[in-house]
Amino acid sequence: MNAREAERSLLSMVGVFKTFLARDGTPFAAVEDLSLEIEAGQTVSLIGESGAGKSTCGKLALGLFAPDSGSVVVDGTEILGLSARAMRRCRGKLGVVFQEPHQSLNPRLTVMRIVAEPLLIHERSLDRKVRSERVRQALDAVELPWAYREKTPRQLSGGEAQRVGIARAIVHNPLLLVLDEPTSSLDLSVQAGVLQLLERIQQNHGLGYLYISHNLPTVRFLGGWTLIMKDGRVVEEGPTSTLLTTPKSEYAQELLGAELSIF
Amino acid sequence: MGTLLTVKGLSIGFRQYGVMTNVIHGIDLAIQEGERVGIVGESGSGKSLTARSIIRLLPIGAIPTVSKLQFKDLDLQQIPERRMRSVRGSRIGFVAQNPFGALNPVMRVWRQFARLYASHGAAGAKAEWRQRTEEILRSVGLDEAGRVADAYPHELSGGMAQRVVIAMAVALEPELLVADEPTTALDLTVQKRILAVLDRVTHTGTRSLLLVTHDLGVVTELCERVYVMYQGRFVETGPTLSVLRHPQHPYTEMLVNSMPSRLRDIQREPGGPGTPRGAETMSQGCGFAPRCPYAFDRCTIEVPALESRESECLAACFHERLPDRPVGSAMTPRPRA
Repeated sequence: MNAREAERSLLSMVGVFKTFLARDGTPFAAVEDLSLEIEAGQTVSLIGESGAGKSTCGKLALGLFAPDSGSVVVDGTEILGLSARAMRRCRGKLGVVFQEPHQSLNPRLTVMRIVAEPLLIHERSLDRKVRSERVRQALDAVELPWAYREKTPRQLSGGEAQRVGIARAIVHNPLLLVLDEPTSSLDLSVQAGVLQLLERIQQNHGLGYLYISHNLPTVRFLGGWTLIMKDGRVVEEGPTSTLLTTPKSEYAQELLGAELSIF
Repeated sequence: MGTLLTVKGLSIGFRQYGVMTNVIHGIDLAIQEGERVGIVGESGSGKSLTARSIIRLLPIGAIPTVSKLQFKDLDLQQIPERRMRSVRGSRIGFVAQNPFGALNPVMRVWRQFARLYASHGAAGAKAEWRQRTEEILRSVGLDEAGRVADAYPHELSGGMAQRVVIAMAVALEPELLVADEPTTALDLTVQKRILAVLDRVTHTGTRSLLLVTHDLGVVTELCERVYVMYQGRFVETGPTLSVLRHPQHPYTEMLVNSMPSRLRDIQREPGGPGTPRGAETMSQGCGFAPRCPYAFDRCTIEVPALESRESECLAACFHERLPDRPVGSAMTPRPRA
């Protein structure tokens, strides 16, 4: 990756607000005045407790929610107000990995078909052979044997299923991955493998990551830049290593103080 | 202090299509009076089944066999279910992972406490029970005890509901509290408060704790002693800090090294996504052998027993002892397929 590419802004959110209506009609501000920027090869993490608005941010970045105000720019294109067709083209630059590996995979499809899905949407002109080669490369990247293409999600362990989820997220060569708690439902030793895998994929492909998590050690592992959210607002942000060692705001201190260690 | 609970030779199996499959393989466990003991392990290792077998609340279909299940003067294996029901709550309290699953959704909190008192034969008037409820709710840090007592479970946050469950579990002053992943569903700051509550209700030294968790930090916070479980067997046990900082069993070492904070220091071993499926359910030998970098011939034939090591720990491994080195410098976690 050359220097110019490294500075390429993949995602830029500026002054984003998103309000939902509760069942009784009262407005609920899920995200207030959020701004963040992700460049190629960079990881930006969103941490906070449940209800802080982390996942809403991820969905705003993916264009799955439209913000009430503010702008969301993906690789130079403002996605607010895009036509469905243009939005689809834009989504080809994005990939997403969800928390529950098994729930995010169609149980009736084979691994081959699951991983090929983004290609069937974003690169429809590919012929069968090339498509299958691309799936092979993606499975390779997540270190799953080629023989796994014939399995169905039910035959996979949690860690394997999450690898399939990651393969699907990267098969169409996106620029940015939204990782919404990708390791929270995994065992410690499985999580270790997935974290190392994510790091390697980023190094090899120069992907930008929007990493959403409440697990501080994993955030620390991935490094980059971190925003701490509470009740829809960013309470503090900074380089991950300094933010997680010397937080300034009261809430950040409380959050980090609650972290347990064996040392 | 005497022994509170002794479990010997506990096995649990499930019968499927007429074939018995064992998931717990003859484990021994002991808890001293006032001692706080943890069981750590990854999903499917059998830690919850082990804890639940003590209060005889196993899932349908589970078939336990045990040679000894002694709780002080009581032989829990022998007593009839009627008697067991009075033991649960009054002598052994239980806290599950999901507080909302443990509370009756259509009954106010204080009424659920009243039922608890009534079902254990406590005499008294409603007003008295209600007052006792508020007292015990205050003791677990619910300052607005009156409001909580009047609430339905859905009106409580996850952290408040878990406090209510803990209050209920200790309301009859049991000698043992069994907690199965009590903070797993909770946010970090809430977890910290719940751990403080569990600490408060057990640190008097008169009440023992059996804590099941997959979180090494949680077990370090609360328990003096820990059992590390892998595939239905205890592979290592000893004082918590000693076990986690100087693991004697390769599985414990891998578990500790899987913590994201340790991953950086570790060289990645080649080997792809780990063991082929099926190797996990080997019928003989050490269950960890297929993933173990120290494994040799004997490991695939015989199952090692827990034996004492130089440290105060017991480990079930044929390997003489792990090289003495700081945690985090050696072994890579190998993903489990």
